[in-house]
Amino acid sequence: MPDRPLYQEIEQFFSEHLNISVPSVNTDLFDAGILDSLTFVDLVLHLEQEFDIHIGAEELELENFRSIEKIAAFATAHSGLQKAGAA
Amino acid sequence: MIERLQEWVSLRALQSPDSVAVVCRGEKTTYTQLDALTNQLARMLIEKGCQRGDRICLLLPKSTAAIVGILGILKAGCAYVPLDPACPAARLTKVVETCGSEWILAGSGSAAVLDELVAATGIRVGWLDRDDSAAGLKQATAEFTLAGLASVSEAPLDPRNTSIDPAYIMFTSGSTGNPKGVVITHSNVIHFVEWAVDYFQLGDGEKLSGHSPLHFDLSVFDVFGAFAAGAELHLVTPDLNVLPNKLAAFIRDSQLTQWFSVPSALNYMAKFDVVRPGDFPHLKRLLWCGEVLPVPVLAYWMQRLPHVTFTNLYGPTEATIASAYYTVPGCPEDLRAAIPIGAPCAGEKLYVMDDNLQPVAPGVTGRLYIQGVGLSPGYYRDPVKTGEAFVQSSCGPACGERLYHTGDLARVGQDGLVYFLGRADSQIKSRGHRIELGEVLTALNALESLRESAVVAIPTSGFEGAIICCAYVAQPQRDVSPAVLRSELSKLLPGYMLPTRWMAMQELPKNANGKIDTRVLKEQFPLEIS
Repeated sequence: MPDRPLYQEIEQFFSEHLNISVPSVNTDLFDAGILDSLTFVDLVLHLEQEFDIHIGAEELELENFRSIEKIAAFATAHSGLQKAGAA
Repeated sequence: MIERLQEWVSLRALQSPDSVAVVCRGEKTTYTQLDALTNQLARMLIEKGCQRGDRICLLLPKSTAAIVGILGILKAGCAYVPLDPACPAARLTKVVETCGSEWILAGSGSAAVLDELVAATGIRVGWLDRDDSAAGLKQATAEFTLAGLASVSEAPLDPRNTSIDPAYIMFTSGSTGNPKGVVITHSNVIHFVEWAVDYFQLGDGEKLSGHSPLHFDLSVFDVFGAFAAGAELHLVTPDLNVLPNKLAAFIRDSQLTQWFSVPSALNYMAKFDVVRPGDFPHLKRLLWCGEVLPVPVLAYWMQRLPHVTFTNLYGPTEATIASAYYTVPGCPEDLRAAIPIGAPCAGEKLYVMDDNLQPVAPGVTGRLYIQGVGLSPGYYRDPVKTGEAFVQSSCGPACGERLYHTGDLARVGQDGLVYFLGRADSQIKSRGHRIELGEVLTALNALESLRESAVVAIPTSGFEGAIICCAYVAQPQRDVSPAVLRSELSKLLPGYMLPTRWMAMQELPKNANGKIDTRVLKEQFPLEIS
C-alpha cells in the first residue's frame, strides 16, 4: 500500500500544478468534476515528469486515475515495474 | 442543390431508406428512422408554439438524440443554439438571455446546470433522452419527452424556412466578457458542404467521424457532410477523448474513412504513439482545423499512414466551418517549415491587406480578410460588434465587397498560398477553443477577493498550446490561494478558460501610462514556472 507521504505528494501536485484542492484521497475525481478530458491530460503529463515514469497508452484506463488513492497505487506499481525492468 | 439543411436527410430516406445515418455507442439509426423521428419532434415544437426563426437551445451530450434535436429544430423552421454542457450555468444564462430562447432541448448529464438555467431564465424544457427519470427536476419540469413523441405523426412537414434563414447560432468568447452569437444561415452551410463533398469526393459508402463537440462549428461539417453524401456519421463520445488508445481503436474498429478534428486530438494520439504503421486501412483522409498542427506531429501521422490524404482547413466560425484548405503533397522533410492555410474554398476569397484595406506585397505580414458565400450575416442582436468585424470595403482590391476581418495575421508566400502568422489581438486558441483573454479578465474582476488582476497567454512549443497565466493582487487581509481562485472562477467560466498558472504579487507591473505592463508580466511567468 502506498504510504502517507505519497498521498501528500499527489495532493500537493494537484494543488500546485492544477490548482485544485481535493477533499480526500478517496474522492472520485471524475464524478466530482475535478478531472475532465483537459485536466486528465495535464495530470498524465505531469505525473510522467514528476515521478520520472513513462505511462503507456495501454495503461490509460480511467480506473487507474479515479482517486488520489488509485493514482498513488498506480505510481507505486509503475515505478516499481520500471525499476525492475531496468535492473 | 438543396435549399435547407434538413432536406439531405429526407432525400436519403427516399433514395436509400435502410442505409445507416448515425452510429453512436454501437447503436445504428437509419435515414428513414432519423427522418421520421425528426418530423415528430418538429411537429411537437410547432404544436408547442415555436415560430419560424425562433432560437432553440440544445443542452445534450453528443448523441443520436442531439442529432435528432438539431434536425427537428431545423424542420420546425427554427435555429439551433448548441450549448456546452461543461459550461457553468452563469455563462449559459447569458447565452440564453442574449438569444432570447424560449425552449431548450436537454437530456440527462446536464440535469444540474439545467435546473439552474431554468430557475434563472424560465426557459421551457423538452426532454430528449430515453432516460426519463430526471425529466421532472425540481425547477425544470419537461413539457414533453422523447417517449412522448411516439404518438405524433411521422408525416413530412411543409418547410417553414428558406435558405437565408438562420440554421444555428454559435457563441464564441467575447472580449468584453459577454459571449457573442455568430448567426449562420442554411445557405452558408450548404455552400461549404457542397464544396467539400465535391473536393473530397465524399460518397455514400463513407464513414465519417463526429469528433468535435456540437457547439464547435466543425461538427456542422461532420453532421451535414455525412448526410449530404448519404454516409454514416460515427459519433465519438466524450469519454473516448481522454484515452488515446481507445480513440485509435475507435477509428480502427469503426472502419472510418474520414477523421476530422482539432489538432489536440492528433497531438494526443501521437504523444502516446498509438498509431501503428499502415494503421486504419479504411481511412482515406484526415482533416484538421481550428489551430496549427505542429509539423512533427503531422510527419508522425504521414509516415505511419501513407495511404491517407492530409488536409489542413482554416476558417473562423464567422465564415462557416472553413474558408481555406491545403492538402499536404508529401511528408514534410523540413520540420520547421510552416504548413500554409492554403487557398480559398469555392465561392470565397482571402485578402491579406494593411489597415487601410490596401494589399501588402507577397511575403509581408498583413491582416487576413475573408469575403464570400460563408460570411455570417453578423452577431445576433449586436450591430456594434457586427459593424466592427464585418466591413464594407470602399477601396483597394476588395472594393465594394463585404469582408470579415478575422483578426489573424497572415502573409502570401512565393507559392501564392496564404500562411497564418498569429493573432493581431489578445484572442488565443487552446486545444481548439477560441478564448478572448478579455472574457477571462472580466470574470476575474468579478471576484471580490482580488484587488487587481491581469491575464497573459504564453505560447508553449509543446503539447498544451498557449497557456493562460494570471497575476493577481489580493485584497488586504484576504488569504487567496490559486486553488480557491480557480474554484470561484469555475462558477463563471468553462474549464478550458481557467488560468493554469497563477502568481500572487504585491503590485502589478505598470508602464508610464499607469497601464498594466503585460510584456513585463510575460517575462516573469516563465521564470516562475521553471
